[in-house]
Amino acid sequence: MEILSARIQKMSQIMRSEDIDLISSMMLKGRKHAHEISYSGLDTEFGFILSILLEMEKELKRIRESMDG
Amino acid sequence: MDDVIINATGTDLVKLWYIRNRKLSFRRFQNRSWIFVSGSDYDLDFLSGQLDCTDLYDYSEHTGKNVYGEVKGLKIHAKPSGISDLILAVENIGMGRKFSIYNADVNPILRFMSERDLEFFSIESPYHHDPPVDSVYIGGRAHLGSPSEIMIDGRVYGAVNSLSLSDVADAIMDNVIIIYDNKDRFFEKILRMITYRGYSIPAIRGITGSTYESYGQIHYNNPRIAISGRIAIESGSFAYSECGLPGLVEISRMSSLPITTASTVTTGTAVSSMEESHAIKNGILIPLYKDDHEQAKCSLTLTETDRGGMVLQPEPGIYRDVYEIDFSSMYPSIMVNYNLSPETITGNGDFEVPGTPYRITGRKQGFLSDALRHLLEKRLFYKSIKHMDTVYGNRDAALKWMLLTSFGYTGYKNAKFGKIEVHEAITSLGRWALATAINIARDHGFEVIHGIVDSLWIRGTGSIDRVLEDIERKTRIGIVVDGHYRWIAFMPARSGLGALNRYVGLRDDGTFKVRGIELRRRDVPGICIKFQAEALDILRKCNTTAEIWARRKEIKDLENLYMKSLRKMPRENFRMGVHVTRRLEEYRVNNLQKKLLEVSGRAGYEINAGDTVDAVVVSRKGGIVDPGDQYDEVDLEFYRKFLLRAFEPIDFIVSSCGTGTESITLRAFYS
Repeated sequence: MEILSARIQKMSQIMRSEDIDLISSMMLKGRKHAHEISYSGLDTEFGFILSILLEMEKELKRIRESMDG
Repeated sequence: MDDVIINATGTDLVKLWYIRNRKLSFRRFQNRSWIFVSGSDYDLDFLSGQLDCTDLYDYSEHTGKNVYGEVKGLKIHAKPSGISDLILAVENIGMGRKFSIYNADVNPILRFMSERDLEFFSIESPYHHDPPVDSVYIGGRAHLGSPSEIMIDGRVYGAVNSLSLSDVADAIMDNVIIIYDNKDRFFEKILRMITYRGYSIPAIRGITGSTYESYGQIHYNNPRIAISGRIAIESGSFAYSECGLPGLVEISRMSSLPITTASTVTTGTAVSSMEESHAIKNGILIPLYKDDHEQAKCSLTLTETDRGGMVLQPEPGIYRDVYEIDFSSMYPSIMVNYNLSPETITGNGDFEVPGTPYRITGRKQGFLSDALRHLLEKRLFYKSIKHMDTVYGNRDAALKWMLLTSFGYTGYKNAKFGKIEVHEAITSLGRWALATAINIARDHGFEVIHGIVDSLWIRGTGSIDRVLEDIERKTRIGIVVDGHYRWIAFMPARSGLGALNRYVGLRDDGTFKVRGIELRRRDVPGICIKFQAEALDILRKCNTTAEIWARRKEIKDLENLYMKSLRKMPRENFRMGVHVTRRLEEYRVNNLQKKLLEVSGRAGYEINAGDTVDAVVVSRKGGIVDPGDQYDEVDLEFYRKFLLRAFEPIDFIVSSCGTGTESITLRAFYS
C-alpha cells in the first residue's frame, strides 16, 4: 500500500495543480481501509480502488440524504 | 521459618546462599553434569571409540526424549566448566553435522536448581511476601559525571564527603542486597572514593556497560558492579526499573536464574530459562542448536500466514460513552488454551487454525503450552489481586513482561523451543479472535470504533457483560473491560488518517488514559508536558462534548499564557531528553545529538550510544546544547515550535466538539 501511495505521489508531482488536490483526497480514501484490506488478504491494488469506491459511495449517500432532508 | 535459597554462585562447586531470620549462610555442593549426543548407530559407535581412546569422559548408552519423542544416544558426563571443550570435541568428531547435542549450554546454576527441584525465594503461598532480606538502595546525583549528592534509602547527603562515604561503606557491609545507581558510573566512582579513603568494603569487580539494539531502538546497559558476598543489582536494569525488587525476585523464582543474572538478562531470556527449567524437571532434552526449520510453503501461504496482529483504523474524532475491552494475555492464552507447541502443529491435527493450512493436535500435551500454563495462571492470579498490595502489582508486572516475550520467542531463530509455524498460528488465531469479538459486539448493538491486536474500543447500548461472556465462550480467551470512558478522542496522524496509538480518554473515575501525545514522551521539553497536564486538568471536569466546547476559552487563555510567559519560565522546564544512538564520529548531520556529544566531550562528560541525556537547547542554529548549567539563555524560537505542537492534540479535542455532533471528521477539523 505504501509503495502504491509513493508511486501515485510521484505521479502527482507532474500533474496540474487542480488535479493534485483531487489525487491527494483520493489517496486518503484509498488508504482509509488499509487494515481491513490487509486482514482480508485482498490484492492491494484492488483493495485500494475498492476503498476509494466505498468512500465515494459514502459521500454520495451523505449528499443524497442531505438533499432528501 | 525454614532456610530459603536466595542466590547461588559457582560452576563446578555451587555455593547456595540461604537466608533464615535475615541471617545469611552458605552451603557448597559438588556439581557434576552431562550432555546427550544422538546420531546414527555408526556415528555413535565411532564417537564412543574416540571417547574410549581419550579416557577423559565417562559415558553410557541412553534413551532420552526431546519434545518430539524418544532419541537414542550417549550420555557423556563432565564437569560443568569442561562442557564447552567437550562440545567442541564432539562437534569436531562429527564434523559439525553428524550429531545432535542436547543439554550442553544450559546455565549451570539453573540446571543445578532444576535437577534438584529447588527454587529461589521459595514461598508457601502466592499470597505470602518474599522472605525478608536486608537490602539498601544507594543512588544520588551527578553533575556532568561527577557525583555531587548521595542518597541511601531515601536519606539525602548533600555532599560527597567522609560522612556520606563512610555511611555508604556501612550500608554495603550491613546489607545483603545492594541496589545501586550506576548511570554515568556513579556508583563505581563512589566505590573508588571509598577504597581510596580506606573504608572497609568487600571485594568488588566491574563489568563494562554495553550498547545494544532491541526492537529497532538503541539502548545502553550501564556498567555493573559485582560485590563479593552481596547481591548487587543495578537500578537501571530493565527488570528492576519495570518491576522493582519483588518483580525481580519473581523472575528469579520462575526462571531458576540467580537474582543478579535475572536482573541483567532480557525478559525473553528469563522465559527461555523458565522453559529450560521446565524441560529439565520433566526429563526433556534441550537441543544445543535448534533444528526446527521453517517448513517449505508456497508464496501464497507465506503472505497469508506471515502476518502480525490485526488493527482497525479509528476515524479521528471524539466519542462518548466508550468501553475498552481487552483480551487478557491474548497470545500466551492462545498458546496454552489451543495447545500450541512445535510438536503439536501437524498436518493431520484435530483443530484447524483459521486462515492457515496448519492443524493442531489435542491428543498430546504440547511442551510449550505446558511450560507456559503455570506462568499464565500465576499472572492472571496476580492481575486479579494486584490492587491489594504493591508486591502483587510488582509480581504481576514481572510476569506480564515474561508472558509478552514468550510469544515473540516462538519466532526467534535461536529460541530452543520455538518454531515459526507456531508463531504464525498464534497471530492467526489472534486475528480470528479479534474479528470474532468485533462480530459479537456488533450483534449485541455495539459500534466498533478502534481495535489493536487484543483491545477493542466499542460504544453502544447493549449489555457489555453479555458481549464479554459470548466472546470468552467463542474464543476460549479471557476478556475484561479495561475501562469505560466518558469520552475518548482519537487523534489524526500527519497523513490525515486516524492514528492507531494516539488518543486521550477520560475514565469514569476522573483519570485519563493518554497515549502518543507529548505528555507521554521524554524527548519533549517540560513546558509541553506541563501545558498538556494543565489543559487536561481543565478537560477533566467535562463529561460531555458540549462541556468541552464550553471551556474552549479557558484552553485558549492557557495557550496564550504559555506563549506569553515562555520567556519567564524556569530553565528546568526547557530540559528535554536527547537520545543518543551512535558515537560522535558516526553522526553525519549536525543534529541535536551531535551537538550534545561535542559539548559533552569538551566538558569531559562521557555519553554512550543508547544514553538519554536531559539537556537544554541554547541555540539551535548555533548548535549549542547544554547538558549542565553552563548557559543562562534558551532558544525561545525552538521551544515555541514545540509548544505549538503540544497545543495541537488539545485543540483537536476541543475542535471536535464544536459541531454539535458527537464526532466530526478530520475534514471538518481542518476546514
